[in-house]
Amino acid sequence: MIIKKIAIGNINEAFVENRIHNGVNIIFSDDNNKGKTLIMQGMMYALGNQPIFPKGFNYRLNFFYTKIEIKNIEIEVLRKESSFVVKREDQIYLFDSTTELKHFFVDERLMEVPSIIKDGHQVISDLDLFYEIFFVGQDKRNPSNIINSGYNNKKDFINMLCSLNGYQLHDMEDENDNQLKIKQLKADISATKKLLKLIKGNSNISGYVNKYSDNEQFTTYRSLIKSVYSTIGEYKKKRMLELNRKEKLESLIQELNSLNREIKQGNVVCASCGSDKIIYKNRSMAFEVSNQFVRTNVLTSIRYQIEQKEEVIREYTRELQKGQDELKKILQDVPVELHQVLLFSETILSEIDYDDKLIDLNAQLCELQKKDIQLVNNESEAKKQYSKMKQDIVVAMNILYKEVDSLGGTVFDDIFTKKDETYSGSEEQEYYYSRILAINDYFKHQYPLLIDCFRSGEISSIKEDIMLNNYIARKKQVIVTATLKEEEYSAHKYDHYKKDVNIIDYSSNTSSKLLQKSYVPELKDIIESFNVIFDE
Amino acid sequence: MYEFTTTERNNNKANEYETKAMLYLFGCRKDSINIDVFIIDCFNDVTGSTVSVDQLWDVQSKGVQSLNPQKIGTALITLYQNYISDIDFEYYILLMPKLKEMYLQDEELSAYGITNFIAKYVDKIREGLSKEYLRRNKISPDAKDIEDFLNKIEFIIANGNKAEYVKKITTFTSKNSLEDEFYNIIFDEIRDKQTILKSTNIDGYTIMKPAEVLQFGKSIWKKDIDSLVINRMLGVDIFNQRAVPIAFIDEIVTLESEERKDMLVDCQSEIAKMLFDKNGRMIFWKFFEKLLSHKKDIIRKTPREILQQIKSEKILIPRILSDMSVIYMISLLKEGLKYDN
Repeated sequence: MIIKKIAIGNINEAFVENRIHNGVNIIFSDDNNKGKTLIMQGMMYALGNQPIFPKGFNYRLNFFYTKIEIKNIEIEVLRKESSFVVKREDQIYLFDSTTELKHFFVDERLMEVPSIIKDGHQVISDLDLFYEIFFVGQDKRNPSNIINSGYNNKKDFINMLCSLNGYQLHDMEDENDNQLKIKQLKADISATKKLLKLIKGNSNISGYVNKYSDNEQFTTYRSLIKSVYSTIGEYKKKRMLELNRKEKLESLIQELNSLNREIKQGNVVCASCGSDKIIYKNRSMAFEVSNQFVRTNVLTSIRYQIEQKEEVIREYTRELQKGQDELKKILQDVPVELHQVLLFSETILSEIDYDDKLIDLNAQLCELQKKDIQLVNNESEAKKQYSKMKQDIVVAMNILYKEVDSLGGTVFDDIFTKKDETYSGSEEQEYYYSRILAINDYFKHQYPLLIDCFRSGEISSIKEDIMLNNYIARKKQVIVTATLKEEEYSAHKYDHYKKDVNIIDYSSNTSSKLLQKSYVPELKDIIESFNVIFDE
Repeated sequence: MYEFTTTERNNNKANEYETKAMLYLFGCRKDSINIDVFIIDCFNDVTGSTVSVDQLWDVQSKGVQSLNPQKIGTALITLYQNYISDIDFEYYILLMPKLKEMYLQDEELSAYGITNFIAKYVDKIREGLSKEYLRRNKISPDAKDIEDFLNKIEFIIANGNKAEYVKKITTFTSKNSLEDEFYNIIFDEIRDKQTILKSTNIDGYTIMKPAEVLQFGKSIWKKDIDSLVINRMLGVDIFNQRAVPIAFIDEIVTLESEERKDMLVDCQSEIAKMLFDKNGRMIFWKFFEKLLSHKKDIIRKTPREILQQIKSEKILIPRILSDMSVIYMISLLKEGLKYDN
């Protein structure tokens, strides 16, 4: 896979980057806030990554476009919020979630996104998890977990590497641990219910509402909650729609099967022998409307669509849960008196209660399925292969690390670090460098190496040279970004790499203002090439 | 006057060859475009014709392995009888498997005239034909007629399996890569239709003008087969494709994303139901045929314009299809139809 072109913007301002080469690229500037991170994150966001944008940048208002070449096929992706339009040759595809985009990449055999077992389901790894194999962003770095930790975590990352390695791991922790979690969850639910009862039974609440309704703090919290609540509502609606569609498709299958029975009455029967094998002499004797091949194909495709819908529904359920967790968190910070009033005024609590129950049921279901799968797996072989792979990668990481920092005292003993281990800035940098290269060398994957801020934490020039030379030696596309100190910049630091490296200087960009009016026509052309109206 | 004789019954292998003969006429010749209809088992195994029956391509198929020149001569009898009949045929074609080596000057050719046979084998062919003529008519054939006739024969090698023949006549590009089995089934459907037509016996009937042959209904129209193939491909494409047909995007661009999804599923469902409805076939084919008669317009105009057009022509649309579904179907057709047809 090669990144060919990146564009970001809206009707008022835009930026288009088409200077990227197939080899090693350094995007640098003499100062921060020149748009390097925006372009890196924008590029990945278009491809379905989670939004991790610099503060003050409202990604929801913008279009994101990335053109890639993958297996010699040019693919262009245009994203706005959760809508994707993908162009391949002259075909246009529409997707409404990253899950659908993911399925497209996988079904069309463009990306080898491995399957993992997640919550008892065999699922294709999420794109943001997958991208961490070859992309390191600047923010939220944490060597003891994945960068986009949340729904996915480092365990999933390891599971994904195992699948990529050909030996899928099913579960790395004891099931006891899970059962414990379920117990806790159940306890939580019953506690919430009790609380609800208490509040509803309290007749003084309306008095509180009057008392607090003009309070500034009250209105702030209230609008906060309202916005989270509307997101939850949105996902609920979407989930409902998908559920409806799924049911529609299920009943379509039944209907199709019944339609295909030819009406028996009125069949011509030969009067002399009773046979219904009468040969028509009528010229208009027509072909059947479809044949068995077509019918089987239609049915298979519908079933496949149903499966996809099921996964999308699970994704929305997760998003719902996220929103509800957020809501809970907000409520935690609210003073107790306000708390009750807030809850009363928005009648939110009953919703939480209801959904918690649902989630609980889901969790139980997942648990059962997990057990089912565990019966059939051959865990020990997978584990053996896992430790072999881990060892290979960790050894490679240590070699790469020692080459950069021969005096450094760090010894990696796992792909991720332990939670309590803290790294200095340069050590952290060296860790990501070693990991991304070790994984690249182990899997020899087709993806470029993308590192935003590749020399953060005061990496010395000597170390940086070693790193850059190693990137060059991989003979694949690499895009890294760097902020130079003034003296480095005026010394034209990267000029001596010009032979091997494509140098892109962002210094002339206005601070904190990558997007410019002048790029809008170019972005407009791009967006309209997708048959998308460029107005919002 | 032309009197119909010998309509033959034969086995599956021979039937397969006759279907290949028809598909050969359909899509493998430079002048294929001029053929509109195939007359089955009247003058010969298959006879291609223009719509006005003023130009005829007469084909004898011989699906027999191990053909030798003598047998080839025998196999030419119907073509020859047609040659000397009152009806003018434009082309005389023998479709046969590749011959064993040694009979030909150039073994590589897949279409050739009598001159490609080595001289002594031409004699054998002539001998075989004359003997068979004598056997049937109790008199010897005219030597000059035989010579002229032999010079007009096109020997065509049937190469390729069933699927390849169907692929050659396909005027629609599917979004999916279809396995051979898909084409084999279409081939068999066409073959079965041909077999049914063969079972109508017209032995002893006579006609005065070629055009009268169509009255027997023993003919398959090219556009019927074309519709069949397009319909089968469309059927596979409907649910199998994620790409929204570009022409359809204009129809749904103003809708909310959720409404778009519903719209697509509804259209796909309706078309699927239509394809599964065995009882609606008459109406369906009439509708589909009319729709495809606008092929050129489909490529040029918007699907909605086409819908207006067929509505103004009072073409009966299968009840199961809403306007949107018809537009969706036209959009799919628009994407798949090849320009060079």
